[in-house]
Amino acid sequence: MTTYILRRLAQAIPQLFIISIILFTLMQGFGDPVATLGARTPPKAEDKERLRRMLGLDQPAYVQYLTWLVGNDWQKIDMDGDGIPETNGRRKGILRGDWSNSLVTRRPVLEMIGDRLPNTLILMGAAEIVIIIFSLALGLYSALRPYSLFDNLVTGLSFIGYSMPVFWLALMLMYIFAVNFRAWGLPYLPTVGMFDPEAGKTPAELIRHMILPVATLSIISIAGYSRFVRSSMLEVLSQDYVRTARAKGVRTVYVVLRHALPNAALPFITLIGLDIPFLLAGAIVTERIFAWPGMGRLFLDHTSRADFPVLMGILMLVSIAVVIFQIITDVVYSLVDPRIRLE
Amino acid sequence: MTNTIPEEPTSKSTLSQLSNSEGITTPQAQSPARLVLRRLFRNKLAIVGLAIIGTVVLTAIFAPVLAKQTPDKNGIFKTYLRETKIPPSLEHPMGTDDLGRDMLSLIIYGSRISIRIGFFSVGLAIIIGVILGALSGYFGGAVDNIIMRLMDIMLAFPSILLALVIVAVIGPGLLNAMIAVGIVSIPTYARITRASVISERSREYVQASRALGANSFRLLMQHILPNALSPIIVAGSLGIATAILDAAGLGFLGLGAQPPTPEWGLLLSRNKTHIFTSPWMVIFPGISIMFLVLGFNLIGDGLRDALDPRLSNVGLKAPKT
Amino acid sequence: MKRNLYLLLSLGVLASMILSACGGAAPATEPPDISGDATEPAVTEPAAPAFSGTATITFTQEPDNLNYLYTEMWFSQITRDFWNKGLWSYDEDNKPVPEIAAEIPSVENGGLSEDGKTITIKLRDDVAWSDGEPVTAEDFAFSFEMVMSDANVVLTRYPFDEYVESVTAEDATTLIVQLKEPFAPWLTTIFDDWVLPKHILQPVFEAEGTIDNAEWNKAPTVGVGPFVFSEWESGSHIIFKANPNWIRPPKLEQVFIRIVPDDAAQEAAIIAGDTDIGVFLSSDQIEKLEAGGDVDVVAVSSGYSEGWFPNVNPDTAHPAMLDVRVRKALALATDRFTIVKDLLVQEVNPVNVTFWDGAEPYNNPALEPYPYDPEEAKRLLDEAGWVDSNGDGTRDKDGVELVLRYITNDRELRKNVQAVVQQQWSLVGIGAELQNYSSDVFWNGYNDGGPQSQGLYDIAQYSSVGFFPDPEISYNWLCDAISSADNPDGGNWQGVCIEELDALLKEQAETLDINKRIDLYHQISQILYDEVLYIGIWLDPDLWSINDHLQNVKLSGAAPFWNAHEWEVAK
Repeated sequence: MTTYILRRLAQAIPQLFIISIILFTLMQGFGDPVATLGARTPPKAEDKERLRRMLGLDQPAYVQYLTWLVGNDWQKIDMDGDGIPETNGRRKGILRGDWSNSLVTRRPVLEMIGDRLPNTLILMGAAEIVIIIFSLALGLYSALRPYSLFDNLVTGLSFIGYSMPVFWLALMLMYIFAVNFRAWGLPYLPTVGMFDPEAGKTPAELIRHMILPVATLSIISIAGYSRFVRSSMLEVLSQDYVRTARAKGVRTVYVVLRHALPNAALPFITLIGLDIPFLLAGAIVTERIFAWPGMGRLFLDHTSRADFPVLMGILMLVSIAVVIFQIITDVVYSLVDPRIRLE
Repeated sequence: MTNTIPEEPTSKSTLSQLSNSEGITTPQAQSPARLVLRRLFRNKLAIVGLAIIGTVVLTAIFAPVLAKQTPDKNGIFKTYLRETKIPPSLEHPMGTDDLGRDMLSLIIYGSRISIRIGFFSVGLAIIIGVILGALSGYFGGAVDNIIMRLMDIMLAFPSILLALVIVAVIGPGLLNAMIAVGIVSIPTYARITRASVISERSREYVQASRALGANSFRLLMQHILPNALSPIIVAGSLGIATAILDAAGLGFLGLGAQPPTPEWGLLLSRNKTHIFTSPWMVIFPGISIMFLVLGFNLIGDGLRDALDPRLSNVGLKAPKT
Repeated sequence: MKRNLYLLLSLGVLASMILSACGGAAPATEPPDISGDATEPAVTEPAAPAFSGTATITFTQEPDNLNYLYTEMWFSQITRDFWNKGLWSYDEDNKPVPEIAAEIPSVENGGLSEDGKTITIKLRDDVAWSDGEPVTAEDFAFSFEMVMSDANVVLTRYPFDEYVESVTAEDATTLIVQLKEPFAPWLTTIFDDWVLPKHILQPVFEAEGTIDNAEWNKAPTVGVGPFVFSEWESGSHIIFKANPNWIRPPKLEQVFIRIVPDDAAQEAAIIAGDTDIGVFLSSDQIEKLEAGGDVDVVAVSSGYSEGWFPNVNPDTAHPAMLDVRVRKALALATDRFTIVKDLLVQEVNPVNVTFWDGAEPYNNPALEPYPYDPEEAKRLLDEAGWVDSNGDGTRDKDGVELVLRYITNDRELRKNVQAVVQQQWSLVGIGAELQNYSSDVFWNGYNDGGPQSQGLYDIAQYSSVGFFPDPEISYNWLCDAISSADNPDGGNWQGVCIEELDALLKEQAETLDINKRIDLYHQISQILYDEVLYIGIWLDPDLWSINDHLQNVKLSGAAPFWNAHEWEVAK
């Protein structure tokens, strides 16, 4: 087992290298980080030129990549623009733990990600739990009474939920529950943010503010997942041993919980396992609408200013997580299902 | 082999379905396509889906007849600044927008774009994906390794994130958004094709024809690829639904279709600040997207049941955006 | 660690319960402090003035950096009214109000030398940083040093690099700014809204060789203003707390800035009352926002006005554009009055005449907008020789069709205007080729392929401003600023070169007397008006929403939150 994990990790290293090269190449097409500087009026050409030089953006792409990878602290760079390098480089490179600094905020990328990651994990984790609970419950119930009124209702609703554009759903929920409910004098939910400044950062506030974004994320996803559970369950239920057990008069609930569910759960676990690393990337649209300070918004905000150190940081973090969770999923799978052996 | 889910003996509705289907008692030779269609038409939801898509396609075709207002040769709708933001009425069943354009007309013409988005991006993804998957599966070894590692890399990112990166590189716009959405879904089709090719490659007839010196390419095209067809059709029809949603999402972020295109996602995002004053400007485009996406989802789901119930997990992951 | 905190907190709670149970002269109960400030010991300062209430403000963009040197963002700049005052700020009429400076320098009070090259600023001697250190002229000299240092990757050095010779501290309260040449916009560009704390940043500069990565840039816990930075949670909010040390202590306890990127979500938050102040609203939102009765939408000009910049460069423009009659006809053929009425709100966005209509007092009130007169437009075009000789509906001359390239960026409103204008022009036989560029491309320089700087247009539309409230924008129209391959940094993208205009522009840039300068601007706008080198479309003020929960808010275009110390919440 240990050798297997080690081998998989060793394989992952070149893969991550290639990913980083491809991504960095793509970043070159993102536009000019000093094009607008976020100002209302365009920056002066002289300032743009000076900034490119000082930030090393005038270097060829491969030099920028190497600087990002291994740093430049053994080199001298030209800061005053006389063409002669005179100042010591300060970058250490990602291989030595320096994820570089944002071109926009000048802050270390790792620190910026660290600020956002917990918020994203709270939101996405809560949504994932809601999704798992509801899709298991709905899927199981539908599978036990296929083509019943309930099943048809769940199927219909879940298809509708699954077909809604997420930003539309988010805006409609906000329109109804945060604005109109308040106007109508009903109990209402807050519109944006993670807490109310007057009430402070309490768990109760957090939960109140999480309801709408979590509902948005869940409504669109429960649909697919509950269909998944339903069909895996139906498949298991139609197998001989289940039929036999049922024919022998064993109670249906017992058969389902004791025999069918564990077997049907396996592919579901895989699905969830492969989902987890994606949670890190956050929910771009939902976070934007509900002003949730997560990773998705970090990515989006910094895309518009071509802040490639931040974008690279987020994408590499997701890649690393994906690689690790692929290995974990395989290992868990082999533990759950003795027929699978890792070599 | 034929453990199709609907044939659950405990279900009453299945029994009624059985009596409806005369084919059960007369096991005469049927072409696979017929069988599939028969199964498909037994699925009520799939029929709803077909009806929805049919409606939208007809709307798109007959847009000039149906729409009250039509765009000029550059695709620009005339603005009627005296008739802005009129609530739904007999004259304007979906109201007018902030430029006095009839929402229904915009949505009718928008249907053309949404359908094009769906088919174009999925078509692109299927073409590239099938080629890559076939090469990978047929040649194996290093080719396989390189291609599939590339696909793994693409799968390593949430699709909207990857689409954002691609659009940031090639620039915003409708065509570019369609390309980005297409590229993002290549791995799905590559994987399906590769799996089918590998399973067929080891079959005796393939080995035999190869030994007889048959042209590998023709072999691939004639015998192996058709086997990958059904999963691709299933993934494709569900993929169209996702593609329309993804493109609308890009439109919402300002990276997809650009005004004055009446693309539904764009109509939604440009009208979103009117939700409190003129909710019809937001509600109808949203419902339209939902309607069409629902159609493709239902038909995709129905096709899956009809073609191959084992594929129960293809394309069922909603993008968490 | 955490457990200890809880222990402390619960002990505190217990103690206060006992106190109040005893019924003794217990201090007024504090507001429950649950906003994550548990790390600070909950000690009451009985002497501190009573601050109360929170002002909640929504920003649609998050500031990138709070240090003046590292940001060009308007959303960062406006926070400095709270926590980083400069020498002076601007009131609701955009008149300078002394802050750290004791008075506004002028020739009369000896602050400005006769030659206009030396500015002597007297500082108040009672201004302190929020940590108690006095603010002195040394802080300003240090700030100048930091702007100019090659070790700091500052975003812009303007105008310090071009116009400032030196900044020196004669003594603690006397600051001398030596200019290379008279520089009229000094009042709005030199330390008007910032200064760096030398006692905090000098040690950082010495230790790290740069202040690029100073902790202070993102957490400026030492500031100078009615409020002081408290916390910034990336993507979520920034909190400023009352600063009792400021010369004009505030009434509010805190200012809470929430980042809400989506405009529809911001609107929802305003309507729901979740925010007191919102900005960058669009004019068609006004009605709904004000419908509830709690919210006022106010238009505050920060100098911007939307206009057309005709290209008259003979090398790049359509030949017809060189004829003033054609340019006049373009203005007359466009019903800008209907456009503002239908696409905007007439009262908020009236048709403007000059570039400076939003920058009083530099506007020229004698001028009237070009009227909508398609008949006169046709006559002028006929007179200029542009007639439809081939009957295709578009006028032509010498085999050249009168089809003009009308470009702007990809903002939706502008696209709508383009579409309407195209319809209107076609009525008088002018064709329009519409083009839109993304904002970063649209304003790019010559070497970066900017369509304006390369002259790939005939009419360019956008909203622009000088150094508001200063009117300076000469580089737009100076002969030697015409952009070309040889002069890629040139800011005169229209290729305007008129001797008289050139002289006036140069004169005003060195004129420090405000009345004389106003007169020069009247002459400048008269020439631009007669030559039709700027066609105003609408005034473009910023729309702010203010909830009546928050009172005494007097927004200014130049320094929106200048009177934040007077704000208070309704009881």
